[in-house]
Amino acid sequence: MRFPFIIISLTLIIMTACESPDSLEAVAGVEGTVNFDPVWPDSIAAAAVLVFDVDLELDSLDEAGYPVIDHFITYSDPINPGVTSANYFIQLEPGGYLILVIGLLVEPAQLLANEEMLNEIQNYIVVPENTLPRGILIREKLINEQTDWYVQF
Amino acid sequence: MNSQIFQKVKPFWLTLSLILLMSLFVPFAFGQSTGSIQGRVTDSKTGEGLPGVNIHIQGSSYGTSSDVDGYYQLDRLIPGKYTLSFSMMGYAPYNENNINVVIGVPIQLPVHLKFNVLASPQVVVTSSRKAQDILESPFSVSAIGPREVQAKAVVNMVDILSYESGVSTIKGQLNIRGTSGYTMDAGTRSLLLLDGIPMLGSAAGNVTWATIPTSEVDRVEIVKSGGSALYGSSAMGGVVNIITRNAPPKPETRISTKIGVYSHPRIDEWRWRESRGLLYNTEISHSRSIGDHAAWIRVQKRSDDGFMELNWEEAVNVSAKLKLNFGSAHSAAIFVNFLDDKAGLTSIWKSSASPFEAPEGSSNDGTQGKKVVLNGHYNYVYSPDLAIKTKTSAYWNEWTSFGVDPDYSNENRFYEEVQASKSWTNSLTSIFGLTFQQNHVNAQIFGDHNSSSFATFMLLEKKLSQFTLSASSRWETYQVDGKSQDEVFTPQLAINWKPSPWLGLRISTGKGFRVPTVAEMFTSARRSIFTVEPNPDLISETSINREFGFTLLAGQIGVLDLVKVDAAIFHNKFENFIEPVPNSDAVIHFTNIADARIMGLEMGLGLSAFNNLLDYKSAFTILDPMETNSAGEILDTLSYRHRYHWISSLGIHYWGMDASVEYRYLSRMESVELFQENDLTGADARVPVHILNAGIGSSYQDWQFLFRVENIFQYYYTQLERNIEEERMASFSIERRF
Repeated sequence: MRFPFIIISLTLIIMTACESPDSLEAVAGVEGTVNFDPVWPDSIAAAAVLVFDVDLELDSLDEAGYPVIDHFITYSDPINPGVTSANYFIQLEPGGYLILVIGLLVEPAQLLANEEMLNEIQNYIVVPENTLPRGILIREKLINEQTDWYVQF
Repeated sequence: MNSQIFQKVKPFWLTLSLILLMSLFVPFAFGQSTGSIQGRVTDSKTGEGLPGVNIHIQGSSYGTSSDVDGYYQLDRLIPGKYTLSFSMMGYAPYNENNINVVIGVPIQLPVHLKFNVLASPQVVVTSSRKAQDILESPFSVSAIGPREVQAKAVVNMVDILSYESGVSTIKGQLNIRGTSGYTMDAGTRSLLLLDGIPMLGSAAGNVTWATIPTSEVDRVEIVKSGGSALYGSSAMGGVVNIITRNAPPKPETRISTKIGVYSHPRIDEWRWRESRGLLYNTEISHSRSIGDHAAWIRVQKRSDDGFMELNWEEAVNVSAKLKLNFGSAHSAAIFVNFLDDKAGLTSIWKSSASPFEAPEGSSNDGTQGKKVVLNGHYNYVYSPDLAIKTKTSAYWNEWTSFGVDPDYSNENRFYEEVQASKSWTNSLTSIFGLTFQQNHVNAQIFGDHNSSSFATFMLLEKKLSQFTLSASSRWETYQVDGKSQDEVFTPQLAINWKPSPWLGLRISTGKGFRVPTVAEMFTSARRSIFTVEPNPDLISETSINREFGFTLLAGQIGVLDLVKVDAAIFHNKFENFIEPVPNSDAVIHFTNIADARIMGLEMGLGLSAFNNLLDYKSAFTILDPMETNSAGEILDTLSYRHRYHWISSLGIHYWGMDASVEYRYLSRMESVELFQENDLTGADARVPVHILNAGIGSSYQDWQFLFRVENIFQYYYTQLERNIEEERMASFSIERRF
C-alpha cells in the first residue's frame, strides 16, 4: 500500500517544482494625487503623468528635433478632462526618474495605438507653466508617493 | 418566420421531402414481427441491482435504462444481430456483441458491471447527434461524469471545464483548442448546449454559466473538432453539451452547503479588506418518481464576496426538470431555470500595485438581472429503427447595470428543432433535421435588433466491417434586421476505424462557419480608454477543420483497472477571421482580419489502478495559433491564446476517503491586444499560469464531506490584461442525501 502514497508524494513534489517564481509580485512605482484647476481648455483631450530618465533636458522639451523619445520611459493612465482631482500610479523599475504632469492634445488611446507618435511626443503634449517636474527615486518593491500636484492648463 | 427565408429554402423542402419519404418505410418496419432482450444489471461485487444504467443498441438511436432494481427490457427488435452497450457513471462500460434476436423468443441477458472510480461516460450523444460508443466517435470527444463534478463541489461549471484537455476560459469565455481567444464577450467559436439545446446569448453569443444547475449535471461532453456541420454557427471550434440528470426512481432529498474562505493576498501591499471574503452556496433539491414520470427541483442560494473588489455576486437560482414517460414509444422532458442575480462590475484593476482593488469611482458599479430558460424535449420512437425528436427552447433575459455608466439589455430567444433518426439497415443510419432560431435584443450598447436563422442538417453513417464512414452537412441562412446576412453550406466527412474493442482511430475534415453576433456588428461603447464602434459590414468567418486521432480504452492490465489514451493532431484554417482590432485612432472595430490558422497536438492519459485505489489523468495540448495572409504566410501570433496547456490530476480512494490533487499549466500568452508589456518599467507583465488544487473528502452514512483548497500556492497571473485571476480559497462542503 505504500506504492500509491509514493506516487502521490512524487507527483506533489514534481508539481511543486513546476511552481516557478513567475507569479506576479509586488511592484515598485510612483503614485499620488494631481489636483487640477476646474477650467480645462477644449484643446486638452486628457492629462497624464509622464516619466523620463534623469538626462532629459527640460528646457529642450518643446524644441522641434529634440530626441525626447530617447528619454521617455512611460506615462500614467490618462486622466479625463474636467476633473478637479485624480489619483495615478505608474509602475517603474528601481532607479531615478523625472516626472511631470502634462496635457494631451490627442486622445490617449491614439498614443497607445501608434507607437510612432511617441517618437515626437513633444508635438502632442502641453506642459503646464505652473507645474514643475519632479525628480524621484524608486526602490525595490516600494511605492514613492508624489502628491500635492496642482495643475492649471 | 420571415417570408424572406422561404425565398431560399429549397434545401428545406428537399429535407422535408426526404423525411416524408423516409416515413413511407415506417409501416413496413412497424408491421414486422419482433423480438426482445431483457435482463438485470447488477454490481459485480455486491450483486445489487443498478438503477439508471444506460443501455443502447450500437448503431441506432434506440435504448433504454434499467429500473429501480436494475431490470431492463428492449422490445420491438427486428430479428438480427445486435451489440448492446451498458454504461453507468462509476462503472466500467460493458459491451455484449452479436446478440441474435429472433421472433417471439425473449433473449435473457444479465450483466454485471464492475465499479470503477475513473470511469467517465463511454457512450456519447453529441458528436453524431446520437448515442455512440466513444471509440466510434468520428471526432475528438471527452466526457465528464457527475462523479468528477461532485468531487470538486463546484458552483460554476467553468471550474470543471478548465481542467479538461484543450479547454480554457478567459473571464468565463469558453475556448476549445484556442479557437475563441478573447473576444470581449462579443462572440464565441465554441457552442454551449444544455441537453442538446443552444444556450448562447442572443446578442453577444456569450454564456451565462450561472444558469447551469451544476449539481444536477449528469455528464458533460466536449466535442473538440469543428461541429458546424451538425450544430451550425459558433460550433466551428467545438461543442460543449451539458446534460442534466433525470430523477432517479427512488425519492431523494439532497441538502448541501459550501462555505469558502478567500485568503488575504500573500503580498501585504495588496491586502485590500479587513476581513476575509466568503462564499456561501446552499442548495436543496428533491427528486422523485410520479407514476411513470420523474421530476427534480433544485433551489440554490449563492452569496460570494469575490476575491477582488467588485467581484461580489448574489444569486437565487431555481431549476426543475420533469421527465414524462408515456410507454416505450413516447417520452418528453421539460426543463426550467430561473436566475435572479446581482453582481459587482469592473473590467480592470486599480493598478498593478493594488491589483485586487477596482478603479476609483467604480465602487458602486454593478449589474442585476433576471433570466428564464425554458427547454422542452419530445421523443417519439416510432419503431426501433425510427425515432423523432423535437426540442423547443425559450430564453428571456433582463439585465441592467448601475453606477457610473448605467446600461441595460433585454434579450429573448426562441429555438425549435426537429430531428428524425432512421436506421435503414444494421449498418446504415441517417439523421435529418431542421432548426429555427429567432433572437431579439434591445440594449443600450447594441441598439434594437432582430436576428433569425433557419437550417437543415443531415448525417449519413455507414458501417463497413471495422470502419464507420460518416458524411454530414448543414445548410443555414441568417438574417439580421430582416436583411439576409449569409447563407452557408457546411459539409463534413469522417472515417472511424475500430480495429479492436479497445482502439478507435478517426480522421475527419469539414467546413465550419460563424456569423457575426449582433454585439460584434453593432456594439457602440467605451471600455477603459478604448472606444468600440459598430461594424455592420462584418461577414461570416469560415474554417476548414482537419483532425486525425485515436482513442485507446482498455481495462484490467496487470494492476491497472482502466487505461485511456487519447491523442489527436488538428489543423484549423480560418478565413475572414473576426477579431477586435484597434485602428490607428485606437478605435476598436470587430474586423474580418485576413486569415488565421490554428494547428496543434493533443495527448491525454487516464488510468485507474490497484482496484480503483488510485486514478490519474493528464493531458497536454500544444497550439500554434497564427494570423496569416490569404497565401498562408504568417503575419502574427493570434492574441489571447496559450501555446502550451497541461492539466494533471491524481486521486486516491481509500478507507472511504477520497483525496485529490490537480494541477493546471498554461504557458505565457504571447500576444494581447490592449496593454503591451513595458520592458522599461515591468508594467503589464504576462506570466504563465501554474495552479495547484487539492481536496480530501469522505462519506459517512447519508453524509458527504469535502475540504478543498484551490490555488494553494497563491499564484498570481493575468489572462486578460489588468485583470488578476483567482485568489486562494479554502472551502468546506457538506451534503446530506436522504
